[in-house]
Amino acid sequence: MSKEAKQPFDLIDRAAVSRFTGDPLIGTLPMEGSVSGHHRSNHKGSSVEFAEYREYTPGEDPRRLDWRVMARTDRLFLKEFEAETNLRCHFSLDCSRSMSFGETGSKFDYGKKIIATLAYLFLRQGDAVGFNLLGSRKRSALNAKRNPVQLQTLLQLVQDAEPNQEQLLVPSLHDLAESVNMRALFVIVSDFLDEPSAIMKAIHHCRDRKHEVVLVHLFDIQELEFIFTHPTRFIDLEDGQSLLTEPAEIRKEYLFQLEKHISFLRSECLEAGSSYYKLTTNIPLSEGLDAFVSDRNSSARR
Amino acid sequence: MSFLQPVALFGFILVIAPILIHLLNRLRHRRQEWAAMRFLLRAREKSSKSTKLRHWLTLLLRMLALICLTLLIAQPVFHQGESWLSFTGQKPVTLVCVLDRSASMERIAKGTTSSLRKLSLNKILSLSKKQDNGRVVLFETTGSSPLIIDQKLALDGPSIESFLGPTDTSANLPGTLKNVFGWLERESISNARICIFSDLQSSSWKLSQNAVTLQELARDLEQRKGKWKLQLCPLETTSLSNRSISLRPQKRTPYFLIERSETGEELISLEIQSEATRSYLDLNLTSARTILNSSLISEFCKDQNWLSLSLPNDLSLFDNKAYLTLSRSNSTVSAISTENELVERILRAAAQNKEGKKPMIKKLEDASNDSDWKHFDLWLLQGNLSILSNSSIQAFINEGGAVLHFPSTTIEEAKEGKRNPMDSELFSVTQWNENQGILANSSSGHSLPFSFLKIKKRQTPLEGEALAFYQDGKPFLTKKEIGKGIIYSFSTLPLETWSNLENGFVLVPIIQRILSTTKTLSTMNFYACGNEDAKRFQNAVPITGDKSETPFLHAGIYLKNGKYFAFNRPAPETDPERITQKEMKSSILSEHFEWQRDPNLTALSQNSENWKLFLLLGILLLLAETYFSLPAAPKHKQAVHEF
Repeated sequence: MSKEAKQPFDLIDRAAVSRFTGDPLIGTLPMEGSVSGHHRSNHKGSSVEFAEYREYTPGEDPRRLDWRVMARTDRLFLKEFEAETNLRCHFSLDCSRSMSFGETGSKFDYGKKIIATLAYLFLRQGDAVGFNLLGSRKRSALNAKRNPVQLQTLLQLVQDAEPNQEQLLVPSLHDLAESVNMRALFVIVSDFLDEPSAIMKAIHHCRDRKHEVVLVHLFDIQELEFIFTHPTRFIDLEDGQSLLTEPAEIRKEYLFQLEKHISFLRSECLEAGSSYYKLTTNIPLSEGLDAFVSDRNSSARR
Repeated sequence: MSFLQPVALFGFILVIAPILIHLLNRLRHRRQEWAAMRFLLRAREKSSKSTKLRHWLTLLLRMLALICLTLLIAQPVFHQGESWLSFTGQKPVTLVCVLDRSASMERIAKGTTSSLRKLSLNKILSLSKKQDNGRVVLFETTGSSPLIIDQKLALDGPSIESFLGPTDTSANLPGTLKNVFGWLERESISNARICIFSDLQSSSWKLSQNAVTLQELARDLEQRKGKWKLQLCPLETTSLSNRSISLRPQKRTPYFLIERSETGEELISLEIQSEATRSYLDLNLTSARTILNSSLISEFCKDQNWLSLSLPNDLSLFDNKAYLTLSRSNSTVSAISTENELVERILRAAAQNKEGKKPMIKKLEDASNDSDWKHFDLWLLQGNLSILSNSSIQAFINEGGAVLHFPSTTIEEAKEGKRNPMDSELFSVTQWNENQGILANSSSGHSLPFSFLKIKKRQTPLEGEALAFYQDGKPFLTKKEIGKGIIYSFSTLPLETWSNLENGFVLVPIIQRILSTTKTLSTMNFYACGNEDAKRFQNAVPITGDKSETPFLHAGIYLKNGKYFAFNRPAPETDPERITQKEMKSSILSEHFEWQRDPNLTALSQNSENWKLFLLLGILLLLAETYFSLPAAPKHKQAVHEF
């Protein structure tokens, strides 16, 4: 990492920020916020957007009675409007050793940039952001807050993170689902090199807790193409296990297994109402996040 | 099975090279840290079976390819009945081609426009190109040294024209084959293929005369147990019509024989060329064979040294010419050697030639060491019969000279006196050949005046054909042919005490007639090309001036020591008779003798084909190995980012 990159704010991709500033990042599910915001709330509120008519119950605020309806029908109805609140976005970064793999830059560094950039964008539109490391045994969670200092804290935490932990993605996700009480948007940045059914079980757990889940699946270009011409001894970054093989001979089967893994995650996410994004570390972040931002924009238009 | 290069069998050690390379490759692998190990493990688990199979197959193909390469270099040779595991060294096969170079090989080959000889040379050249290993040696039938052929040698080039060019000789193929076998023996050549290219003319093989030689050859082949193989490539001539002319030296009266393959009537113009003239004789040929008397032809070219007869051109030009020498002078030079002066005087007067030149006198005692006989044609001798065995006289007769012998006066007189007491009794000649020969009637029908001849004494003449007889049946005059020459022997002397021959009315016509025939015969110096006689004329100069022509190989007129000599193609060369396959097989009884009509000689190139098969197999194995060992082609790089 260069000298400049040591500054926490350097993690924020300026090209991505300049491209996506002004585009609202809206959650697709109703959020449970503490202040007014851009996101749909699970409560009725005082916005201009009509929600429903409801029969008046004694004790309720008579100011919300629809007098016109009462004049016409002689019955008491309350006119309710949608409430808009802020969003709690919780970023999770996988810090297993496999995330340190990368030909030009590691997946972990790329993941850091994603989180830093998105955190900046969410904070900028008044949402609360939080952060935790998946797989880290030490307490590294940062609760979601919306004050400006939160960015500094989050970036510092992100920068200090190292991919030197064992693979504990699934238990960490279960912990995360339990630890966050209020509805939130979980952005999970990982290479998801674990049993896919177990991963999806953890995702379902999060969904059961009313959280919106976004999976950002990171790949290095070598992992996707797997072009090696000589006999190679592959050494597992997780446990040091080695495998000597002729890559050309197993390439086809390797790519098949990889695609199978990706397809499973993608289809299961769709089924669970979660979002899945596959990113390769060799493309600029401004392009990589384009699909994510577009989806958030389109949910705002709905 | 044996090997030409057994040392190359050490190449089998190379078979372990692929295994070593495989192990070295495993040691030379690169290390790569990897995250998505779970997919690698699964991929290897799924593809391990097929991968292992491919590995083993690749290894096997590489090893087999190396085995093929080793065998290709070792050059195995397969023999019938030999063990496959006999890994012994094998010397290269020497290809010996035997070319029939007789005049008959100048005939046009069937289905082509070239001669049989040229066709044979082309075949030999193509064979030599196929001979990958071992020498190619060419023998030919005129007895030259063997010629080693390499692929750069142009067999029809002018530089070896004298070795392989056309000839007018005959051939003795069994003799040539015997030379070939001797050469192979001397050169210690253990493996040889002998290919004979011949038109199978009977006169070139003479199977009955050479039966012993051919049996010896067959025995040699059997002893070699197939290491020497004899193959005969018969050449077919075209069946188109042909005419030929040849000089037939039958006894002392040669004649020209014109032969035709067609029997119908044909009018041809015979060209008769001499030193200074050229004339044409129209001949109406009515049969397949026409005889022309040489004396008759020589009348066309009086006072010339030689003449050549040419038939009109046909497809085979080699047999359209014949040559003959003549005497420039009509007079014959004669010599006299007598023991009696009176006899000498009488004979000298009787043997005077037309130009009035009298015979030269030669003493009998000088005859043995005298070589003057080369300068005269008739030798009149008087003396004992034993003088005829004199070496000079024998040489003179063999060269075509004529001898007229008279009995001795002294010794024979005494002997005859004893044997024949009735000396006073007169003998008379009552029978003689009036139709032909030197005693024939004259052209006007008058017979020789033998009735006036009275013989008082007589002596037994030289044994031979009696030309005239006494009344008691004893010979008066005999004739004996020795070599090209002839001896006439009288039983009496031209002396008054012996007979009235001295009067000359019988003696002179006889001597003059002998002189006239001797003139013709002694000046006809004709030989056959390829004979031992022709070798004595190496320094003779052809009248055409072409220095490449030699009397041994080429027919024509040659000049030596101021005399002209005619060399002709041997008469049997025009004979169409051919040997059949059955006759040949029965003459050479060996399983290693083949009648190989197909000139490709597949048996010869079989080993070479085997080696090429190894090369082909090796290449195929390497291609298969490449197919199995090539990594799968990487797919085109795709944009992998997708949201």
